[in-house]
Amino acid sequence: MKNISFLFALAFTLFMASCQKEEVNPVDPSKPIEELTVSNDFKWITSQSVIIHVKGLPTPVPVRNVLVIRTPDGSEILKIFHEMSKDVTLDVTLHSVYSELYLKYGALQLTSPIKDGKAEFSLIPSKK
Amino acid sequence: MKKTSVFFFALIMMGLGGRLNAQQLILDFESGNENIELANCWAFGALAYISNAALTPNLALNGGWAGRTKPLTNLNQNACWIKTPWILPYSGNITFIARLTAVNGTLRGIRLSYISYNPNSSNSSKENTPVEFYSWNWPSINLGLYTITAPMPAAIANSGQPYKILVSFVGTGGNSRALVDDMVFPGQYWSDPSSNCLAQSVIADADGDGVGDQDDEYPTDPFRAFNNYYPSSNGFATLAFEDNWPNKGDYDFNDVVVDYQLNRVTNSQNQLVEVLGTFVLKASGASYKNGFGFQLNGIPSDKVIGVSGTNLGSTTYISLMSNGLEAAQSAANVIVFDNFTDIMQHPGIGTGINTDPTHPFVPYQTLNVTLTFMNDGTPAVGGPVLLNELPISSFNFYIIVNQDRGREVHLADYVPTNLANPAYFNSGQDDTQPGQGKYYKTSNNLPWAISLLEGFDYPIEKVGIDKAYLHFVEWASSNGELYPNWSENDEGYRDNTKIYYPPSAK
Repeated sequence: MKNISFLFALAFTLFMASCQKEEVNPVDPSKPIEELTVSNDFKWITSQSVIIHVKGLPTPVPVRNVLVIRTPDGSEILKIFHEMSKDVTLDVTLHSVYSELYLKYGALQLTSPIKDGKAEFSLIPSKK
Repeated sequence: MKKTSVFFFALIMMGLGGRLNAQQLILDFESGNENIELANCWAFGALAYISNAALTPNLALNGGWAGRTKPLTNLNQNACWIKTPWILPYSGNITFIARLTAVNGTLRGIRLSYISYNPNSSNSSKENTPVEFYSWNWPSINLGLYTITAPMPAAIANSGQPYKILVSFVGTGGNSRALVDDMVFPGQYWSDPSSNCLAQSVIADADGDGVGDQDDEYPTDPFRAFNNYYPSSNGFATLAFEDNWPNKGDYDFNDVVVDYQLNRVTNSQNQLVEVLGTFVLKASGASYKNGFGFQLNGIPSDKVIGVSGTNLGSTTYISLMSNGLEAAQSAANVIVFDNFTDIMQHPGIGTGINTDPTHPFVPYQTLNVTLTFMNDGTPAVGGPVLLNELPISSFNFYIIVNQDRGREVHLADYVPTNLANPAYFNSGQDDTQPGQGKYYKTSNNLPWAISLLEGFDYPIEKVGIDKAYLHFVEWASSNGELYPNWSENDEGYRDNTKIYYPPSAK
């Protein structure tokens, strides 16, 4: 009986642990900077680089227009003259607080979340 | 004034569902994705794409896909229909094939209408009322394949005006549908998929570079089209360095403080014409005579025609090539200045410049540096550089400590230049590990330089950044997840007694 109780308690603990959302370790803000140990991949910058993939729309004739990438505050951070049927990959840098990007191509306006340093846009509508 | 269109017309057939040769617009449904045709300004009412594989073999039309209407039980021309994009109609026959899906119903027919363009219409589609010009009924309700041939009306053929053709499927009784395929319309595609599918218009393009004047930031310069600012057209980012590398510093990050804005100017081919860098020298909390520059990672020196606007004094520790880039470097290196104190004079008291609020303020100094990649459309001998080849992350900024050319301090994990002295690595507190991509960090990954996109009010002399910015430690320890806006001047974010503010900001 004891064994069963122990196994149940262990399983319950593991279950709860697995459900717990991974949280950032609490930090003592009073810790001097010299004593900090930070992640190996931390870059010490307040910006993020985002790779943007834009999927083109096959068109019956070549169509070119201005493609603009904007941050949520409306700042234009990249502008190219783009042929609509071509796929293109772009590399932009913006503040790390932003979690989405806006694309404007002629009259088309699209939004993409930023996930793992990437944003995806398609000039082909996903539905009617 | 030169005028041109944003459209360039293909003279060859393209492998698309909605496609065009020089004289014809074709809809064969073979894209299998009606969203592609919809985005190309076709429109469908109660009609969907269907794979021939989904039809019984006796009903299949040509290729892999066709269009199928809903049951034809309505004589209204707006019940089941296909509408072309705007075209400039030519003379000739409109043709397509059609068959019914079942032998039932009283009447089945096809009507063709044209729609003229009214740019002044309040209707967003700018369409006038359809005008019917062709009518055909199935001679009997059967499963036979019919080829429909209708001449383009003389009233619109070769008129030079944009029209749409509306193909309507009508009927009464029963539930049979129509299948349709291989639609051919004599005419030239004249819609703009990037502008709400309106008829394309001739746009003003004074310099003839293909970019319309309303979008061209250099409308009278054929060699320039766009500005690409970083961090923004009216903002500056900040670089803040510690200069005691490879030994640990005092983390006040004010030994060299430079604000900067970059503008990558491109042409209509998205090639770099020039990079305009504005560098504002703000502080030097150091006794060293430090220089500052940047490497364009991945860009060879022979891609740059010239550099201007730098400030290289009488010191001789920097060697330049004829184009103004630093010599003996495999990647392009610009030395913006070789000695901070040549540009901003020491106030005569204390150690540094603009780091102690009790000492006289020295006005900031600005250097406007231009890197030229193309002259009147001609690139450097190494060829053109595309905007994509020089993202902001390729700008590798660094200081040169006390005129010792090999003693560079870069942002964390940015590579040293060819002229960095490798003897410094792994000495002092430096724990550079090239094999792991780790550069200019200590064993616990602390840096000697930071970069803030939003600008930065740096700490006063000898005060660690963690004492001036009250959430800096949490930001760093959380890998940037907590307090990503730690440098803002919000309540509880700063100890303003430990931050240097110029007199104008007080």
